[in-house]
Amino acid sequence: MDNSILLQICVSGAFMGLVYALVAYGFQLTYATSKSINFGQGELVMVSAFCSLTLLDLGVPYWLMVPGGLVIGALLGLVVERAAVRLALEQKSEGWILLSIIVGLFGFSLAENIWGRDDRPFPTPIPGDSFNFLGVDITWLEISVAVGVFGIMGLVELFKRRTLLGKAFEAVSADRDAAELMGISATQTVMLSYGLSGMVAALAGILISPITTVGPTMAMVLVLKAFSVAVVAGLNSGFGVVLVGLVLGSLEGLASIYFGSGWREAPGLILLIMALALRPNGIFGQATIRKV
Amino acid sequence: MLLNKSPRIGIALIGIALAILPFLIGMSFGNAWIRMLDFALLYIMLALGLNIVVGFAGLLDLGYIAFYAVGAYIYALLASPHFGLHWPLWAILPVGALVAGVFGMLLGAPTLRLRGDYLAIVTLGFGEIIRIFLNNLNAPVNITNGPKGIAGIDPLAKSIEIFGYQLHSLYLIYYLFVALAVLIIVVTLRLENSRLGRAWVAIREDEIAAKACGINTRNVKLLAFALGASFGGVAGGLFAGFQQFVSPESFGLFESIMVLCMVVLGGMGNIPGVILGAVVLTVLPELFRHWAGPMQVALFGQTYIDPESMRLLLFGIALILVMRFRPMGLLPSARRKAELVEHA
Repeated sequence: MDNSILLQICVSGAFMGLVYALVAYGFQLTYATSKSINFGQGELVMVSAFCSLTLLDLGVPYWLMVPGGLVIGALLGLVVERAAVRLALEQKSEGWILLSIIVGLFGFSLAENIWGRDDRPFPTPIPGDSFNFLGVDITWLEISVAVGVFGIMGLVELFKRRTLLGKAFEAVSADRDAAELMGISATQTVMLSYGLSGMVAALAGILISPITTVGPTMAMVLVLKAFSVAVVAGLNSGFGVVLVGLVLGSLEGLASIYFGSGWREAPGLILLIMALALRPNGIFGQATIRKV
Repeated sequence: MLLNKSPRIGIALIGIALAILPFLIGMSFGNAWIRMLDFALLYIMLALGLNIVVGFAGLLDLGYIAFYAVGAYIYALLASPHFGLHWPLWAILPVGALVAGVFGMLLGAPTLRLRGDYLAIVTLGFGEIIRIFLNNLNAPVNITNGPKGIAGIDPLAKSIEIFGYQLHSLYLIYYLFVALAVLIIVVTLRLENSRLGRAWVAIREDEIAAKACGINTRNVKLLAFALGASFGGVAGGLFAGFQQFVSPESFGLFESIMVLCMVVLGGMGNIPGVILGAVVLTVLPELFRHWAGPMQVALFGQTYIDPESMRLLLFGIALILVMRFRPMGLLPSARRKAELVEHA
């Protein structure tokens, strides 16, 4: 096959991969403080995307919709925290991880009832036409994805490093008990992390929806890829997710070209299992030492 | 009380109750409800299999349905016009159990070092991989027939006539399922307090301490995965013969979660609890499907919420309530209960 076509597929895939990385970043944020994974992250993306679409339908201009969508996402994140995570953390029994899945399914069925089962287009003022860059066609939508992903990740990292609240976040991530002794409320910090994570999820939804479409099934598709990215990179890898996301996105493009579109989901999952067998803490993750 | 004093009479009574149950239900509610009874038995087998992995060994498995799928496809391939093979049931079930067990080890081997959330993600991914393969192994060589699935599978049983009375195949399937479910229950009961069962509990409680006590944690974990998977494989084979049709669609993540809910809701690690969980979560949604639609029409004059989605909504609420008020499940395991007090 022509090399330039392959390159084109890799580049388009990589931009999609950035969105997976953003969803994976949402996992990281909540994992850092609560040490548990929110299995409903995909539904957070989907429901906030639908809410944003509804805002647009109500006549809210696009540039006002974006902050609105982010606020809705943050609120939804808090709902997940209250309904599932706080309860599950109180239990010593590991089986309750499934509560966040249930909340996710709940969101899924709510979305099906409110917005219907069909995929819907997501209007955007960003033009869909492309320009040529070093022999590869790049669309303005893809540029908007890159700007959005790096923008919000940069902002959240700045927040974590420069503000007092952010430092509390880092403290609870490092050692929950010690942080509590210093007068930081761990519960409130976990809430904060779910709010941030919901916001990140909402932005991921707003960025990817114009390229794909909005539909209830997008949740599952996204969450599986984000799992792969988060775990392959390591759940405490910081920007490692970006690199893994880029690689996974291009691999997916290649898989669907070489093996057919049905195999599109395969590389992520195979990568996931391989990475865990070889490096259980992820490529960029630090090994946690378990004290006996 | 009766059960404690004379176990034989108790067992006989349970036996008689199980034997006449389908007739009672069939006469009063119709064959659709016997079908549901059959499904409840299938889910009991599945939930008991998962209970070995999650309840006994404490390894959270979110892709358990993959083994069910493997068992179902083994049955479908060996007893359908797809390859022109028509093996008898008794030859297929052991093969299905064996292959599913091998798949269980395949999942277990790379995940030996993982626990908790990480393990949950990997097993979830494993379940999805199996489904992707089932969906796509129709080219270049057509093995699974892709998303269309395999139809025309040999039925488990045909209706027969006894003393001039037509006995529907659903009844025969019921007895077959009861027999196998009882077998699986006996096996898990015997496993629970065996050397292996205690080793699983030890690993669940503290893997490092278990290792220090001389337990070969690797083999014991792999055995948990393999045994749990093989139960799933048997249930899957029965499912294929029962439905006479398999397609990848029946083996999604939702099914895995459903089975996990049965185990958690009933009481992880407690066999009667798991059985209760399986029955409750099969019967209640079914009742719901029958009554939710008409009830809404009667109350409000129209259907506001599609019963299918409402099922999911209520399911979520029920689970959150159970966790809030009975975090160890409806029938908690005595051992796990003791453990919770200590930890707190």
